[in-house]
Amino acid sequence: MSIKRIIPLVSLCFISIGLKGQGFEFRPAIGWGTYAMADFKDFQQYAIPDIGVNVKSVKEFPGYANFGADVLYYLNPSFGFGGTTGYYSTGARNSYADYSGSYRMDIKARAVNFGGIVSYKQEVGSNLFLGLELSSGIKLANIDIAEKLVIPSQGFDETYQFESHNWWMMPQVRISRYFFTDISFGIYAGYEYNAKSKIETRENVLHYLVGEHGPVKQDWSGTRVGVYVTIPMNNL
Amino acid sequence: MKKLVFSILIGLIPLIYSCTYSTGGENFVDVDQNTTPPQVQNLTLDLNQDTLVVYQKTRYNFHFVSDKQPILGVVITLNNQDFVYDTVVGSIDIDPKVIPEGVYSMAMKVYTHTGTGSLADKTGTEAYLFQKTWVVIVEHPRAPDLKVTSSIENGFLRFHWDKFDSPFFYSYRLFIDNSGIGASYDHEFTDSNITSFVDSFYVGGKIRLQLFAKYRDLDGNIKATEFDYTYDYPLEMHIQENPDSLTVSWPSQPFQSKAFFSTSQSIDKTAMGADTSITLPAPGMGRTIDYQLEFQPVKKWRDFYLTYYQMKRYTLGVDDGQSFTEVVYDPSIHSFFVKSADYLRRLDAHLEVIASYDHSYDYKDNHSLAISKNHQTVYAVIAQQRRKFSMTLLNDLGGMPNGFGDNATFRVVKNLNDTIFLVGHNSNFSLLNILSNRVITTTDPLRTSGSIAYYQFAVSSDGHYAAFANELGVSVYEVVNDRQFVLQYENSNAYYSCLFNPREPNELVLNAQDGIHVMDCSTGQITRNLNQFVANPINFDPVTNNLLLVSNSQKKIYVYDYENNVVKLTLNHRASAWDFRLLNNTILFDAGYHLAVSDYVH
Repeated sequence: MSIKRIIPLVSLCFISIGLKGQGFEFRPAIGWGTYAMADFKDFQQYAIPDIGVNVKSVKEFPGYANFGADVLYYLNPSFGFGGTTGYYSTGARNSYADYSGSYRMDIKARAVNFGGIVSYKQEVGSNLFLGLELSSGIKLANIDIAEKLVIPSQGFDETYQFESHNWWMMPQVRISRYFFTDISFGIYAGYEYNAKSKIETRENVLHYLVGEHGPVKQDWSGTRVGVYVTIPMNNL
Repeated sequence: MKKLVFSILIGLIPLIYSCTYSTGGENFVDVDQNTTPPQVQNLTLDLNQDTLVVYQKTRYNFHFVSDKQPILGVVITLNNQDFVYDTVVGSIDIDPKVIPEGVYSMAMKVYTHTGTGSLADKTGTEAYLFQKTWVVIVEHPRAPDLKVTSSIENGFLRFHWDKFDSPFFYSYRLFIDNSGIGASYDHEFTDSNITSFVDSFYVGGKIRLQLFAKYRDLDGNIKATEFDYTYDYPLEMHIQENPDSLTVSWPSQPFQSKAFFSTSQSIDKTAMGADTSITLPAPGMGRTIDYQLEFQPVKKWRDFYLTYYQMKRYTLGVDDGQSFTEVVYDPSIHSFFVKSADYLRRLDAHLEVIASYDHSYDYKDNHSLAISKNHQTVYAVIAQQRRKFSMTLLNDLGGMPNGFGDNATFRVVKNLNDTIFLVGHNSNFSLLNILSNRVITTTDPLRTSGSIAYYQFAVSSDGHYAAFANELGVSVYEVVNDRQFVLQYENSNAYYSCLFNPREPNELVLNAQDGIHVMDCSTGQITRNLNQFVANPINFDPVTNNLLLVSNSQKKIYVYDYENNVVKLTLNHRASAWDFRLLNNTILFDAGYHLAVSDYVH
């Protein structure tokens, strides 16, 4: 099942849980993340074709917005646990173009996190809370590599589809403040550590992407910062 | 409120989804498109012609060089098939075994980089194109059809043939069998434009030209088609002989040569120059003579000359093929009877064979022919057997002992009354009863000295006299009542031979050393001399009663009208006197030739 299908289903699931639970918090977030992708970047350079022109890497897996949502149940005002999910995407491009044609290789990487979360928060001021959280889970990723050469009377346009899954863990710090009676707004910062994993073809897991130094592994590790809203479930 | 929040959350889903990272950015390079094309040159010569004629597997090489932008590659298109080369040196093989016969277009495209450095330039999709096309004619070898003719030019025979105008031509090979000079020779020309050959050896006769048109097949093997041509310029020699001279003539030859004339009677050759005839003394009757013309080409065969011989075998008279030891003519049935060592034949008046009795070779070959009174039976002694034959077809009617023993030699046999035969044999005359096979009487031994010949014996036509003449004299016997011999006359003069005049049975012609005398046997008187002849009297013609005389010393033949004392014909000869006979007004030569006297005497 592709990420495109998983995202709506999981979101609805969380929403339905919140609607039915008591003492639950629903916490949608939007943030910014960086992604190590060291192997992939090597692969990107390795994949620059020797066609006599200066093909350059114009994008190398830059940081990009991510989206997430948590559902937490607080056993007491400070300690809670729950589930978490998130959606991440980044990409890379090798490119050359002139009047006669163009060459382009695009790598599009998308991933969905599923995992659990434990939270500890403490009010440090008037309606101001500081929290520490640790979340971990599995990341399911889809990677598309599209290579296109446009030249007179020739050229090609090929797309290769891969997928991967790995374990991740992210400690984070959160600061939130209630601006209304029940709804708080906060910011968070953390570092997501990803275990590296092979990038396999969708058709056959025994076939995987190989670079100059062996199998290319995805690594979504990187900083995560963002903002979020906490909505008590009983208000929904 | 809940609904509002719920709606917001639901609305966020596509928003989140649409916010997936999208790669962007472009590395666009501004490239100068304005470059000048290079000069491309082919360093090989294989493809310099505009039309390529291919009749065997052929490799065409190319080697291109560019003075500026490097060559990307070469594409050759032939028969809708592309041959792509990514090198500047290459070749294309055109194999007629693979490509059907026909005319094709072959295009060669040479691509060079444009030198702009653009992506298309670097990837070879932008290039300068240099193109050249050829007409490729693929031919499959096939046997030619050449016509061979000939002509005579400047005194030489020239053979002509159609040009073998084909690229797979290999050579013309001429094999010439010149029967005229008896030589064969050959020539080979590898230039297809050579379409004629002057044969300076040819001076006449039959010549056969085998022209082998050679060509290479698809595998490169050499094949040949043969064209056979025969030319003949026959030389017809004409020989005309009259009593005094013989002329050999021939048509003028158009070929340059030296002509020589010779005969089998001499080793001398006569250079004829431009003459086309030669006149010789008439050789007359006798065995054949070879008259030979020899044409010598102007060109030597190695270090000597081969010559074209033309020979005509000729003798005066007609070749009837009926050689004989003894021959008689029966006017009543218009037939000749010839006897030789291995056959007895009856011939008609024109010497055509009517019947033949062939037998094994009879070494004695006796003079023994006799004919029955009713002209129904022929008698002859063959292999010492006295045999009877039917007149019509010479059927063998049986044989019996000859009456005189196996060692007897018969000189003359005269049928007196179909029962009693007068036989001259050994050195006697005898009377033989053929029914009882008993010898009735025998003369005393005749006076003989040395060899005895049949022409020394003679019997008169009526059987009344028998004579024997030799160098010791003549003895004339009278046959009395067909039962006894009575010595009628005898002398001691020297004679060569004798014979009776059939129309005057008393007249004995004596061939004496001092002349020819005619003696009346009843009186023993010489009644006539034929001293105008230095010749041997051979025989009287039973038809004309002309006397044949043949001179050995003068080599003359005379046909003498005995009764009118007129020499009717004089001919030359070159044989022995006793080889000739005069029968039915025809001179017969024992080698099988005859001459009708009427052809000479009208």
